Amino acid sequence: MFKTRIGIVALLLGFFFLVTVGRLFQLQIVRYDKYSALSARDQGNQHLLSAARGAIVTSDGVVLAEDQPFFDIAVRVDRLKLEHVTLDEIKKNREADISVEERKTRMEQFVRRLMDERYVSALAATLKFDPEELARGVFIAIDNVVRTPPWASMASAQTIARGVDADVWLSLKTAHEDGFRNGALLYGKDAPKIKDLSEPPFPGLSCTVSTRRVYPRGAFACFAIGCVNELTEQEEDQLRQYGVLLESFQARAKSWTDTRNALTSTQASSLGEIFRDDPREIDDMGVLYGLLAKLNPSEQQAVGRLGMSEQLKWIQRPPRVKLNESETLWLGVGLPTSASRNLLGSRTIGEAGVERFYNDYLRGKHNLKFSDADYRDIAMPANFQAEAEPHAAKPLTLTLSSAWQECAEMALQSQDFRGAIVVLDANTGAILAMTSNPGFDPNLFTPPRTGARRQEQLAALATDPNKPMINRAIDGEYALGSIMKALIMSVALERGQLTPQETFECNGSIKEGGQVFHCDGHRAHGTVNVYKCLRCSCNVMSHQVGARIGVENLGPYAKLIFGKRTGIDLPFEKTGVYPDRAYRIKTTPVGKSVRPWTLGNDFQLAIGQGEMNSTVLQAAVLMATMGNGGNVVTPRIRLDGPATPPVPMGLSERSLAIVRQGLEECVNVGTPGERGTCYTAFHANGELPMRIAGKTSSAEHKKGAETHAWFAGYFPAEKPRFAFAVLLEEAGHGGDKAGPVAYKMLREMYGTKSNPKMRDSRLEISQNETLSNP
Amino acid sequence: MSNAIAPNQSSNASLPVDVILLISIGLVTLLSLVYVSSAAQALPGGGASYGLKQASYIGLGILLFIALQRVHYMTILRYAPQLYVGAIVLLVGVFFARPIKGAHCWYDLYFFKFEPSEIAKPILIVTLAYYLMYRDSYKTLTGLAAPFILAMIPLVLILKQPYLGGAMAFAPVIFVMLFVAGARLWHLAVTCLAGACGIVVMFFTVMHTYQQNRINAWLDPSAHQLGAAWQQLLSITAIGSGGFWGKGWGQSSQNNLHLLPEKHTDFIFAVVSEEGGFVTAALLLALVFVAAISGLGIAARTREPAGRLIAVGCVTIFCSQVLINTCVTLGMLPTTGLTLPFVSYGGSSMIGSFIMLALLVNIGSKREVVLAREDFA
Repeated sequence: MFKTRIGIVALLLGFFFLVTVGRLFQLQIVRYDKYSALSARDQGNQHLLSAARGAIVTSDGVVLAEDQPFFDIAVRVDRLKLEHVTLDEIKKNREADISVEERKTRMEQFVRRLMDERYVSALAATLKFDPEELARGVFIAIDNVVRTPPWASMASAQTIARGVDADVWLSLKTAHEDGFRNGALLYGKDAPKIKDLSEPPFPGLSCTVSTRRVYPRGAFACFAIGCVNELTEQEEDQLRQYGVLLESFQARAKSWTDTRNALTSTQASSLGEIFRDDPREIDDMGVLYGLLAKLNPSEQQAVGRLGMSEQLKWIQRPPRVKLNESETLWLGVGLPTSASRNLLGSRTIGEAGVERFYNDYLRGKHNLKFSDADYRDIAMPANFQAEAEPHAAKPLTLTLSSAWQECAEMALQSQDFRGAIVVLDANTGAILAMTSNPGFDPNLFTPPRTGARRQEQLAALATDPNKPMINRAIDGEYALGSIMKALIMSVALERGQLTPQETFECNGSIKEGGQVFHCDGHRAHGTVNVYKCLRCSCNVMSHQVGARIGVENLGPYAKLIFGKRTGIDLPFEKTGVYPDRAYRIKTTPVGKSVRPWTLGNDFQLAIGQGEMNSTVLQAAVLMATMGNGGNVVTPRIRLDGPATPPVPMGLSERSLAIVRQGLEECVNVGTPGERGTCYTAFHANGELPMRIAGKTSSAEHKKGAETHAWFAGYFPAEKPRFAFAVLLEEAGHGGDKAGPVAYKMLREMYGTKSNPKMRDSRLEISQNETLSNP
Repeated sequence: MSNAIAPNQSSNASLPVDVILLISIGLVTLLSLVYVSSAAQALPGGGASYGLKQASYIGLGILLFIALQRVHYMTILRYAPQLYVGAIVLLVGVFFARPIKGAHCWYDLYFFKFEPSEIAKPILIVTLAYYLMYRDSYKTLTGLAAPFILAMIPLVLILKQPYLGGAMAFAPVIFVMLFVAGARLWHLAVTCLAGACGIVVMFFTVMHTYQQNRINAWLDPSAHQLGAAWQQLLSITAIGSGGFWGKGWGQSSQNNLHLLPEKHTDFIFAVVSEEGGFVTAALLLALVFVAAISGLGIAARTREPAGRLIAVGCVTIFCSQVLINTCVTLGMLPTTGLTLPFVSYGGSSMIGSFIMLALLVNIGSKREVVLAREDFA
């Protein structure tokens, strides 16, 4: 029995050994081709082919941004022939714990020593480059490589010079790459001999093409486009670690820490069940991000029941950069540091505007290319093959109309005040024009931001007291002023607190709580009804109507637009302020009591003054809501993006019709004594081919300063199709200053009644047309 | 008792050592020298210094081997309880030593890192043999408990180091020794099943996340391509790219790029397969198999119950280590961190392996008075 059992053990062992040898046979003989290609890939050169950034075009096909080719020179650091400087030195320097100044001095020393290297000086002469600039490029390339342990990242070529002359670049390429040098194409099997004869002039050098962002129309539509920048070192490290770059990464991490610390133990355990991990132990944003992405709808609802969906949704907003498969492979995302390898190919990242908001779309799909030590492409087996070419993103089409944009910019820049104009489709929220004054040339920001002149210009932009980098259409909060009356009146009518017949007596001012509230210029309007109130902007009536509604009752209507982001697909949008109790509680410092709300505050709110604040875009959305029958649209700037359905405000057509009548009178009634506040602006220089409706506003914001001039409206008045808002900072009276700018814009677009124009046939307004959604 | 198992002068010391066993193991250590020095080329110090050190470990192992031939294995067996307690003390003591790479696996003796689990393996085999030799309690299901508990104490300690691979490689030894000793098959099957359930429960309760990840990665490598399966993917690629004849000594891609971690220790088989190709890798496995069969031959020829059990135990642990290690490098098992005996670089592993070889040869070359029935089962 003992021997039998030993025999069984021997048989079992034999079986296991056979299985192992079988596996060996499978890997080494059956699948040899696949694995030898894979191995060659790891051993040879890897190039990340950066995709060109997608173009940005207007809805009528005008190119606002595109990538143009840029010829670069790159080197494989380990193949550089340096005589004096060693890579070890630079690695040690990198790791040394020294001050920033010391680091700078040492860098300059290295640069000077590299300039003396024959390799560098000869290359500089060939490229017709400044040797110092090239030496700096070489130093940064080496420094980059030794930054990522181990030195395996040397297999990647590092760019050392950008924007090389195309002829020089081509001659270097023929001398260094492909069949030209090793003769494989020309001489077949004799190739090795010939290859031995020709040592390339610059070992390790490769010629690459990158792209450079160009904005052909300069400052045109600069606020919609934004600008690009390069990833910082920290951002790149985050990408290497997580594979995603979240917008404002630190802010999200902090938000998560706060959320986590505020969890009660019951919440923590419920959340732990959903995450299958103790939420209090999740420190790593990458881990959290992965967990959140995996939640199924019912789990998401469970998170919602815990009252945490808002925070988590914010943390989970789409990443600014999400690496694709090739890039994660290239960067070794998530690997232990000892195995992480290379650097990201294209470091361009959108910094503002749609360049930022749609960065991940615009940056396209990068790809990997593998070649052996002699730059011959390695044929990879199908399931490991990176696609041969990178995919540039399809153009990003904006809703902007170049015609509208030109008219808006022309009108705004025809005067000297800072300000903004927004024009949008009243029914869909599509932005047709968005401009802010002053603007900037986004080309200035395109990296590399080198050169003394460029630095000067950038510094000038940054220190300009007019703050040209602020998109005043969405990034500026202004007192809204009388435009608020349109909302106040419609809500009062809707709630039955006002009838069109009701009249008020205006003697130019009204007293409340020891304070005197005036109409503009202390002018007495006499007997005022709702139409006249909107036409002549009577504060006295508005105060009383607003007081009837009250801040909290107005809230459900007003807060659909004010005190929150409109949701436009652009970054850095401000919310504005709607000063209801919730807002006051939120802004009251801990330990102090919430300010009481007085009737005087209601008076101020009724004319859009006091604490209330709005963006220009919100004013335009308000006008769109009045015009389109009470639906709050979500503005958007990407043409083929997902549209958010409008939210009904709950105003009936009956109330809105009355307000619309008042708004039309504001522009079109010219009877002396009853003249609308914006009549003159629209009727002094020739009538427009269609009727406009709107509301002026002269919003006080600072004692002693001129008021902000507003004009917001929609047209055609009979069947509103477009809404707009014009703001001029500290310009004075709305009807005198902002009205003419709006008029100029519309006349530029549509001409006058006697001489109509058609700048953009799709946006034509005709009297006979039965207007509907475009 | 000492009388009963005293060596019988007339039948002792006249037998030749098992030449096939020694030749095959000798060839394996030669392969080790060749490929360790290649795998270590890119490491600080270079391949030659690693080769020299490995040679000195082999030399040390040979000296120990010769020394152990001068002692009769029955003498060692007599001290089994003391050795067992000593091993436990060493295994407990390692938790108080300075942790290396976050694990309590080694004593840092400055000139080399001593791994108590390597020495614990042969001692555990001897102890089990000592316990089993004249009993038959293991023929009942409850009687199986004692040898299991005996084995579990050091295994749990090794598992806690944490050194999953070491514990995993030993598990089959208990079963095979009990099986060969004559335990009932269905008892072993029941225990095996319980053990499997235990492992599943362990996976979800006590296992570290990194251990779970390794297992998940093994179950679904494509999903973990960049995570825990990275090592295995590299290893498979290296092996597959070796082809039939291999790339030649010092030519492995993983060497040049320093990509494969632990390539001179746990993943040495990948280097052998890549540089030596299918020919060398299969030769290595064949040599191991030949050594194992001649080891089992020694067990079969031995009539003394403790000796045959020790022989079977040594062969089993040798084979289970080789099989687990190669299966890990071949991507057939999750990464455990287990050395390839006689091949991987490292002193403890080499010395532990030589001790077991010495025991085996000792048993094969010394005939014993047999007091048991021929078939003591």
